Amino acid sequence: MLILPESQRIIHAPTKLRLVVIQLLVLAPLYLFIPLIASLISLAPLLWVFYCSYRNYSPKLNRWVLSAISIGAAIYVFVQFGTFRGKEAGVSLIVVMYSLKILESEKYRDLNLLITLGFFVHSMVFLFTESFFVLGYMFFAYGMIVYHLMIFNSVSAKRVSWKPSVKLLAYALPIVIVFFLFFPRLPGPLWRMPNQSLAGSGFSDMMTPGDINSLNLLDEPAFRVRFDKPPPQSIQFYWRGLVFEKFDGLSWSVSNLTRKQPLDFQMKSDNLLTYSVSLEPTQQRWLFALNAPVEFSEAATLLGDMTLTSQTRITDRVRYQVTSAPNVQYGFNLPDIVRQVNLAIPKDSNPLSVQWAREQYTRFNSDKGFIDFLLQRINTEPYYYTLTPPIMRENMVDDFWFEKQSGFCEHYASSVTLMLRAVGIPARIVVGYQGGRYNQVGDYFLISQKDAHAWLEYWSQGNGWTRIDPTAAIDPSRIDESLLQEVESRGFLFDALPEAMKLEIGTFDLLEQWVDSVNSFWQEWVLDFNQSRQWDFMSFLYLDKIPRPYLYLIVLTVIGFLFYYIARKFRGETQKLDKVGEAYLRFLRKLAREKFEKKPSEGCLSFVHRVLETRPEWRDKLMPIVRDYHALRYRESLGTEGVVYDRFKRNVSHLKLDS
Amino acid sequence: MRDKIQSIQATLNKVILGKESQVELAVICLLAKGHILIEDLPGMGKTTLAHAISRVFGLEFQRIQFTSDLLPADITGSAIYDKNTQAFTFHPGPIFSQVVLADEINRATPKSQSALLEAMEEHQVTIEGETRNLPEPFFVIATQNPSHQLGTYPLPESQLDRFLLRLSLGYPHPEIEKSLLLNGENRSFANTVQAQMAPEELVSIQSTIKNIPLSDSVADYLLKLVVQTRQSPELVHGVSPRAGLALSQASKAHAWLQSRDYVIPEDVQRVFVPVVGHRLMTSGSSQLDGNDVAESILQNTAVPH
Repeated sequence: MLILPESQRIIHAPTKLRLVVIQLLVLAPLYLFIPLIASLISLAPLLWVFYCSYRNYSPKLNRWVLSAISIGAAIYVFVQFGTFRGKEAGVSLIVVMYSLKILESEKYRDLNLLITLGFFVHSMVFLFTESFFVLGYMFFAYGMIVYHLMIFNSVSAKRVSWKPSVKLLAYALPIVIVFFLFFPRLPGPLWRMPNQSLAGSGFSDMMTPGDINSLNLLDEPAFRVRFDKPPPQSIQFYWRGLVFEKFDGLSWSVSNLTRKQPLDFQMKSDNLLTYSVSLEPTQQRWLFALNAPVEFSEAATLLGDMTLTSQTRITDRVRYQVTSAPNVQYGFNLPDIVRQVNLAIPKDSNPLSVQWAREQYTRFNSDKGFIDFLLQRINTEPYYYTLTPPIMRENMVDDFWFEKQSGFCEHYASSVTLMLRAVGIPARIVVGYQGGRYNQVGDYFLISQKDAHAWLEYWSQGNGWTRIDPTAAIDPSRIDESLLQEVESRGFLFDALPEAMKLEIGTFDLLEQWVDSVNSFWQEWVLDFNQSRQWDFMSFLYLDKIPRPYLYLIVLTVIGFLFYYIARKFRGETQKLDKVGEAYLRFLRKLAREKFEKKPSEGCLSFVHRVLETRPEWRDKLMPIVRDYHALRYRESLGTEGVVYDRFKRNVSHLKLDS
Repeated sequence: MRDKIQSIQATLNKVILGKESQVELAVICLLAKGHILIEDLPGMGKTTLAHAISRVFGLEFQRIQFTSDLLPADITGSAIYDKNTQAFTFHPGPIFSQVVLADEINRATPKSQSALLEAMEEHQVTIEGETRNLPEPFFVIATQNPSHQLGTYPLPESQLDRFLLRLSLGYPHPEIEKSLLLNGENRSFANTVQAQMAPEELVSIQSTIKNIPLSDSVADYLLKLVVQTRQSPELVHGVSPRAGLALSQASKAHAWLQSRDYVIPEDVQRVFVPVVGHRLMTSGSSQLDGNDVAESILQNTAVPH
C-alpha cells in the first residue's frame, strides 16, 4: 500500500543510493560497448549522488544547470557520432540520459519510472552481444530490479525477502519458453538497427603479405564442424576458403576468370566424409569445406577453383552440409586460360627470386625434386616463423627469401608459389583454415579465427592440383617463442612437433570445451531459431498437419488464455463475495452507469448521501436499499436468508435510475 | 436519552461557538468512557469546553493546573498526620472527582504526569499501599500545548495511548471571533449552564453503548485500518490493540449518537483520525504528522463490500 500517492512521496537518501546501485548494475555492461567518454559522462551523476550522500549534501542541482548538462551531453553524443540514429549513438544517448535522470528524481514517481526503465535499458545489452554467458549477469540484474521494485513499493523495507523476486522471474521462464517456441516468427529480423556494420572477422579477398607486420590471432570461433561419423585419424583438416591466382607483384587476389572454368575430378576411393558446418557471419560469400566437396547444400555453388560459394552474403550464422572426398584428384585438364593465370608473374617482379629459382631448377630433372629442394631449404636454412614479421620491400619475395627470412604462412606460401611459377609450374595460393579443436562435450570441431592459414597448390600432368604447405617445413626450433605457447591451439599446423602430440586434455581444456559447447548450443537453438526452425519444431510435434493460419490462431488463443490466467492469478486479493455482497455490487454497478462511482474507501451510506446531493429525487429508491444493506451487513442477527434479503435483492434488481 | 444528549450538544455549541465537530467528538469520548486530550495553543477555549462539559452533564468538576513543580501528591492527595486523632488521615486530591480537567498536562514532569495516567487507566489510585476507587463516571479532560512550545515535557507514547481521542479546537471562524469580541466571552455563560442529565443516566448510556455489537464486516474493516498503521513506512510503529478497542468504542458511541444500534463503516471513519492520530509516531524523515498518515490510511483502505 502506498501511504501517499507516488507523485508526493519523497525519495529519501538511502533509497536514492539503492537506486543508483541499480542504475550501475543496469548500465555496467553497456559501458563496455559505448565510447569511454559517454561512459564517464554517464558515471558522473551516479558518483555525484554517492559523493553527496557521503558528505550529507543534497545531490539536487539547479534546474538550469541540469538542463545545461543534459543538453551538453546530448550535443556530445551528436558530435561523437554525427547522428542520434544507429545503435551506438542511440544507446549512448539513452545511457547518458538515463543516468542523468537520477539528478532530478525527487519523488517516488521518478523512482518507479527509473527502475522500470531499467528493464528496457538493460535489454539493450542484447543489441551488442547475444552470448550465453551475459545471460547470467542479466538474469541477476533483472532479479535485482524486480527485488528493488518490490522493496521500494513495499510497506516496509525491512520485511522484503529476495525470494519472491527470484520466484517471479522463475515464473516468467516457462512463459518465455512457450512464447519463444510457439509465437509466430517473422521470416527476417523484426527490425534492423541502421548503420549496423557487423565486422565479419577472418580474411579478405586479397592478400598482400609484405604489408603486414603484425598478425592478430583472434580467438573467436570461425565455424564449427560436426561429422556424421568420426573422421579418420590420418585426415588433415585444410578448410579451403579462397584461391588466389592473380598476382600483380604486390597482392594476390581471386581470379574471376578461372573460377568460371569447368572443373573435372576423379575419385580415387569412396572414403567419403559427411559433415555439417555452422559458419559465423563473415559478410562475405565464400564457404569453407575440406577437399573436395562432392555433395553440398543447394544454396552453395562449386566454382572452378574448387571453392564453395554462397548465393548471398553470410550476414547471419548459417549451417550447411557438405560431403567431401578427401582422396579425390581434380583439375587434370588445365584449360589454357587457367594455365596462363597460374604461371603469370608481373614483369620485373622479384627478379632475384625468379632468377634464383630458374638457376636452381636446372639442377633437378623433375618438378618434384625442385619442390622438395625448396622445402628442404626452408627446413634447414634459418627461416623463422613469426607473427610479427618486418615490413618487406616492394619485391617482397626477394626480400623475404634472401634477407629477412622470417614471416608467417602467407609469406611462405606466396614465395614458393612465385618460384614455382618462375620455373613454369602452375601454382596458386589457397587460403582458409587449418586444423580445429575437437570438443568432446559437444562432439564437434571448433575452428577459430586464429586457425586461418595459407598454403599452395601446384599442378602437374596426371596428378592435377597437389597441395604443399611450406610453413609446415619450418624447423620447430625456429618458431617464434610466443608461438610455441600457441602451439597447443594451432593444433595441426605443426604436426611434426612432439609437443603437439603429447597434449592431453586437462581440466581446464574440458572447461573450455564445455563453455564453447554451451555457446554453440545457445547459438544454434536459441539465437538461430528462425521461422524455418520453428516450423521444423512444429513438425516434430506433428503440428504441421494443421494449416498455418489456424495454427497461429490456436497459438495466439492459448497465449491469450495464459495471459488471462496470469492476470487473474496476480490480481491480488480476489474478494470472495457472498450473496449480499454480490447484490450490493450490482447496485453499485447500476449507480456507476449513471456516473456515480463509489470510491473504495467510501462506505455505502456516505456514498449514497453523495449521490443524493446531486439527485435528491432518488432518495425513495436508494434509501430502502441502504437500510436493508445495513441491516443485512451490519446487524449480524439477520443473516443472508429471509425477508430482508429477498427485499434487498428485489429492490436492487428492480432499481431503475432514469437519467 | 438521545434527546438529552442532543440538547446537551446544543448547549455546548452555544458555549463553544462554531466547533460542532469537536463538541461531538468530546461527547462521543465521554459516552465511550474514554479520556480526551485537547491539544491547542493557549486561549483557544480548551478550559471553557472542559468546564462546560462537566456542568452540563451534572458532574463534579475539579481542575488541576499542571506546572513543572507539581508533585504526584498534589494530584492524588496524601495522608496527613492529625494531631487530634493521632493518626494519618487521607486528604483526597483533586483527582477524586468525576470530571478532572488536567490543564496543560505537558508542563508537568513525567513523574506527575504518570500519577494522573495510572488513575486514568485503572480508575483507581494507590496511595501508601491503599487502593482507593475513583468516582464513576470518571472522565479526564487533559489539555496540552503543542509540544514544540518551550517548557513542555511531551507525553510518552505509552501515555498518549490512554487517551481515547485527541482533538484540537483551532482558531474560531472570523465571524464567530468577531461576535466573541462584540458579545464578550462565553466563560461566564459556561458558569450559568445547568446540568441536563444525572450522572446515573450517563452511566447507563455508557453501558448501552458498550453492548452495541460489532458486525463481522465492520470488525474486518476496523482491523484492516489498524493493520495498515503497522505496515506504513511513514510510521515508526503501528497502533496497539488498545487503540483498536478504543476505535471500536468510539465507533459504537458515534453509532449510538446517530440513533443506530449497529455500527457501520462510516462510524469508524468518523472517529478514526482523532482516535488514532495521536498514537502514531511518524519516522524522523517524514514530513507528515500522525493525523496526516491516519487520513491517508483512511483514504487508501477499501471498505469491504
